[in-house]
Amino acid sequence: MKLKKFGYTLCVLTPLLLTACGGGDSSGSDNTSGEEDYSNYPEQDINGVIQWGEGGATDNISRTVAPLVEDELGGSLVMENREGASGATGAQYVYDQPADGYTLLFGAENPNLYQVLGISERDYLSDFKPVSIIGQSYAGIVVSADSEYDSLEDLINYSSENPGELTMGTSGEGGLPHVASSMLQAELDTEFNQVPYNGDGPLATALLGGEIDATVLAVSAAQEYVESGDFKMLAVINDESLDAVPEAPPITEPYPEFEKYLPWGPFQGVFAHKDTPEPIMDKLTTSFEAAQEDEEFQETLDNLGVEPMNIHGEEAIEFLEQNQSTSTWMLHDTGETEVSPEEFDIPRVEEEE
Amino acid sequence: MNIWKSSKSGILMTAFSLLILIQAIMMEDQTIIDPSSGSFFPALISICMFAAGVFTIFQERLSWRSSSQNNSAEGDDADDLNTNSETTKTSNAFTKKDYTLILLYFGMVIVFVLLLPVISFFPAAFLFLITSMFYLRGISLVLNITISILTIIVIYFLFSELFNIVFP
Amino acid sequence: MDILQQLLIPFTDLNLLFLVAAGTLAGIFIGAIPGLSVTMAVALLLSLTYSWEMLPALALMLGVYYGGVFGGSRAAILVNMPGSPSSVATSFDGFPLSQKGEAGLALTLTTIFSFVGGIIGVAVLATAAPIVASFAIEFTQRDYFLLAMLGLLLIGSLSQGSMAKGIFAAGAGIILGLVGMDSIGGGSRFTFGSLQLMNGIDFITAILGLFGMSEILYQLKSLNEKGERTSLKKMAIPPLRFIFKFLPLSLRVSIMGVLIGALPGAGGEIASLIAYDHAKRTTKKPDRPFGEGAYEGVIAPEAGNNSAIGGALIPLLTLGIPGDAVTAIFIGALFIHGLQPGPMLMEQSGDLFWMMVGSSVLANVFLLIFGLLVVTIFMRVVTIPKQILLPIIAVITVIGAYALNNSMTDVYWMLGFGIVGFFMKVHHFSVAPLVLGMILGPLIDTSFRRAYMTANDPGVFLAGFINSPISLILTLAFVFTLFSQTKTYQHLKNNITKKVKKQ
Repeated sequence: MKLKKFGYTLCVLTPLLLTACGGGDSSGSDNTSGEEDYSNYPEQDINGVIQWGEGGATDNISRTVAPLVEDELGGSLVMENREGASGATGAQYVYDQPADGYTLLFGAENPNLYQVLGISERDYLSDFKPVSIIGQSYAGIVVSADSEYDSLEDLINYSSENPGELTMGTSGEGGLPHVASSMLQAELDTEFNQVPYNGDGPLATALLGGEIDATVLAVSAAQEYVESGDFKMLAVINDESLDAVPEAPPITEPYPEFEKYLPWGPFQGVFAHKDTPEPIMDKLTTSFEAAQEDEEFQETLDNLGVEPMNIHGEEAIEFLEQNQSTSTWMLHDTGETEVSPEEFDIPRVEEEE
Repeated sequence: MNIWKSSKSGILMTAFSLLILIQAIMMEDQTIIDPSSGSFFPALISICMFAAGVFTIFQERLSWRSSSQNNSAEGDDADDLNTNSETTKTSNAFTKKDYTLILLYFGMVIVFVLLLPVISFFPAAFLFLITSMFYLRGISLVLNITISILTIIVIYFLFSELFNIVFP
Repeated sequence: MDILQQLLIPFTDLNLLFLVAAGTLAGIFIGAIPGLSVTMAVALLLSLTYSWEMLPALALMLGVYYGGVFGGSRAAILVNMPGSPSSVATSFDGFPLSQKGEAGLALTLTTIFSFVGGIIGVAVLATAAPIVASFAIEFTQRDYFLLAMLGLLLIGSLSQGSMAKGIFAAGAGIILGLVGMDSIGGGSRFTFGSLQLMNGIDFITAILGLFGMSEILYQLKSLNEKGERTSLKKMAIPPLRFIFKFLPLSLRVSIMGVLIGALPGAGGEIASLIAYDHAKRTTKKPDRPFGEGAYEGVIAPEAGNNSAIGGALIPLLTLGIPGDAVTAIFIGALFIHGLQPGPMLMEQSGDLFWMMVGSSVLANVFLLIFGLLVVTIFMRVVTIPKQILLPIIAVITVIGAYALNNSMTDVYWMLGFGIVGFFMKVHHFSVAPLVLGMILGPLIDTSFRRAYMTANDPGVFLAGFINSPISLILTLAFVFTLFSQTKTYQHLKNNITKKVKKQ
């Protein structure tokens, strides 16, 4: 009886709630005759797994692109966050699902490092296929506005004189702050007390509350707080300043020795299980490619301080290889990893340019 | 001696907490003594659980003794030491007949769940609703079938159409 | 003048008015069905409303948010199956009330006080958002730890009979909550090498099993007995004196709710638990003992969780930080519609802020209207013969568990929790501490370890508990609450009251 009433009310509401989606899933189910026939894909909702928490850079980008892809694909893309263990929880989950293109991983750069850090066996290149690399961004070293450190040199000097005294918020092993601080440690002999949080959002909160002394955030995540005067960005990890945060100097200005690590930064991409059938991959890549051409989306990326890439296929794989090689060898060279990247057949990329 | 008889739940509790403690100690790459490690907190919890278990053993033993010595030893302490009176209460409340009814019904739910991936959701749910209403008796067959169909339709609209949940 | 105009936009624009109303109504029903969560519904709306204008999209989402949080208590009261984690506390006294034939009264009372809580939440949002936000970010990991421990002290109130068994059940709950990948260290805990367990156990499966499925099994017994059918008392409208009587309590828990809701790491579920605890401690003479259908026991958690919504909107609108999973989706919505959620949001688009406040007021008004209107519909649930009701609920728990992550594993967990919960009930083990442990366990674990790592030294760590004002207050509250549960305190109190009386 209760349910009957539920039903009536909701039947009345259904058209209202569905106006925008146009009911793309009303047909289907009948024409599932041949198993090899993928032309009807997607016949059900696609589950988009975001490997970082709500409110972070990966989350924002993923949720912005999702509706655009829905338009291209003609099906629904249901997004969910599975955070934890540097994003390995989400990556593992997607890997465990059937390779039918109905579960996609919206990830950041982290899985490139899982193997060398022993976080997880999963790896972009060996376990997933890139659907699209959406964009690349840059990282910046930030402190709270009332921090006594006004320049990167201040922070570095204090940290190398008082090892372990400054608290650096990280997003877990293999996250941006972790790799960046090992970079600093290798070159400048700093030592931070690293405390892991669940992604950019909680890190920003902790920095606002003065719980941590410094952290490394994607420029996209930090920029709003820098503009509002809550954070100071001491340096961007790049060889020139960025339009998004013009006042932050490039890290190579005080420390030219970082040149060899660059370009390095976070990226966001969409991945599918490696066994996903080709026709589905094709459909996905074309849909994601078309979706990203949307002007508004380009603007959003721009707002977020992300440099649009929109690459897929071989090009994306090359990009991943390069990024993985840089980060893993850097971690190895600074003594952060016990195993050498060589064990996982990651070649050392010769310094380009 | 008669420890097992007198405090079954207490012993089960301690055994279970020891199991967790062992698991916590055996955790890879973790050190129990370091409060920031992943196994410190579970170990602490398991010790608390162990203490609770031991406490229950004593409590049950105490109440078992006092009740075997003096059957009318209730009164003010009944709240704290009522484990024994509980068992008598429950045996009054739950007859064998009740248990068979309940466990059989639970068995039906399990069959329903196991059938889900095999014959897909809607037939399985329909079958389950009809048989379980029939099993519980007191409902005419016509009403039974009508309600089952209605429920299925409502659930379909709610979960499938509105929330796009894909059923097995 | 500008503010007033922006505030009134949702009231004067018929389209927005209708959307808020529709959202609230839909939210009430979605929230009432276990397994359909508000987060799911709002996330779905985010995609559905992509092509809409921003204001209508937000109005609809806000309506669903308010309605959904409120709706969770309907199922908690009627069938002892909390529709969402934030209504777990409502079931402690709500279901006993319903069994006593006062379902109608319980539904009406919770509707009225949800409205009160919601309005207070909005009032704080409108008047003191920046202050509350600066308080919320001052909340360190150590304070989260203390807050969660305060919530855990509820075990004392929830374990019927043996306290030791209550502690044990809560401990087991915490361990279950920790199963899976360790979000700080990266290792896996209690997974026994199973990949399924790596993702953890969703505590909603525990709620569905321990409350829903086990209750079905437990109630089958009364089928055999017959005769004893829940009667329905006519009185559904509470006397006016009730409202005044409970107003001070609801005001207090609403303020607590706003503050807890504003914390980025805690939301309605903790707010409602703390509110229940507060009600139990401060009510000197409840009409009935707590746990057996005290009115205060349903009013407090409902006022608390609805006011937490207003709280959760505070860090969202002032800092661009989500206060819970639902507001995180709002952030996505703001981004999609071309806004930059962050500390500058209030300055750059103040109209949005006031529109949200206006819509929230409106959603609460509709919540009151619809909530009262559908009481009679919901009340019927109690009169449905159990032969029909129980199978239907069984199907819903199964689907609900499945729908959480589209996985059968969750269904098996739910069944496991169901049978365990049944035997716990038979042997007078209270199931509530287990759920409490599962909800609070992960928060306690991560916040404790982060706090310890931040301090980087045991001495500094311990000193921290009395050094910062927030921590000090929470520590004192914790110690006092713990002490007040001991027998020494009861003796002391009794002695003092006796002496005072003699004089």
